[in-house]
Amino acid sequence: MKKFLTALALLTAISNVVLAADTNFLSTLGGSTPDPLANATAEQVSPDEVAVNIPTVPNKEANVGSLFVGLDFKF
Amino acid sequence: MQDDGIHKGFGWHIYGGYLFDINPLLSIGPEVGYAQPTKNVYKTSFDQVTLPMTIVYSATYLDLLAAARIHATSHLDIIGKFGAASVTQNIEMPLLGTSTGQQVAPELVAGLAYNVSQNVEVNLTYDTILTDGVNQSDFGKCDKIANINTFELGMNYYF
Repeated sequence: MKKFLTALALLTAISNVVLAADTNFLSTLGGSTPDPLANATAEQVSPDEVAVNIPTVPNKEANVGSLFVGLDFKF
Repeated sequence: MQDDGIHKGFGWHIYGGYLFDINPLLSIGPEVGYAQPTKNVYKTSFDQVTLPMTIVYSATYLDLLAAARIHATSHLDIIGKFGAASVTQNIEMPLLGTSTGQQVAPELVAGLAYNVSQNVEVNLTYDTILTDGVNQSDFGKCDKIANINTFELGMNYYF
């Protein structure tokens, strides 16, 4: 049991070191995504502002136009 | 001279183009098409000649139009188009053979369209091509290009 706890503690310590190294490495490369709310205070970010920043899918009205084909019968 | 115009079946018109959305109420754009109006068969008899004659009129045309649509409601569009059509006319007469004539003439189209879905609509339009025209006295003169006035019923598909 003591060996198991020792091994578990050792694995936890190693994993923490790996995670920390990984985070530092990504930060160096600029590959990590910074949390936009990390340094925010309650006054800086309101729910409305967060909603405005959510990307939206362009709707039909935003399109330039439409390509079309047609077939008519004449009489 | 007496004539009896007989319409043989339906003609057809295939076309395509692009509509630019100017604003939520108006779209305009170019349209190009090819059509074959209804073939007409005239059975004639002349006072001086007892032998009846059958004259077959047919035509095709290639048109280039500027199209405009007013989106009157969410489902109903008002259609207006103007441009030019190159009409090729064929007249088959017994003994005289086939005569072909061609003329570029103005074309006007007006109608309504109903949007069945986001991509499909049905439309009903009136199409007129203003050629030199043929009067009753010109009947049988193959160098005259007849006006083409037709109703069209069909559908459009939007990509």
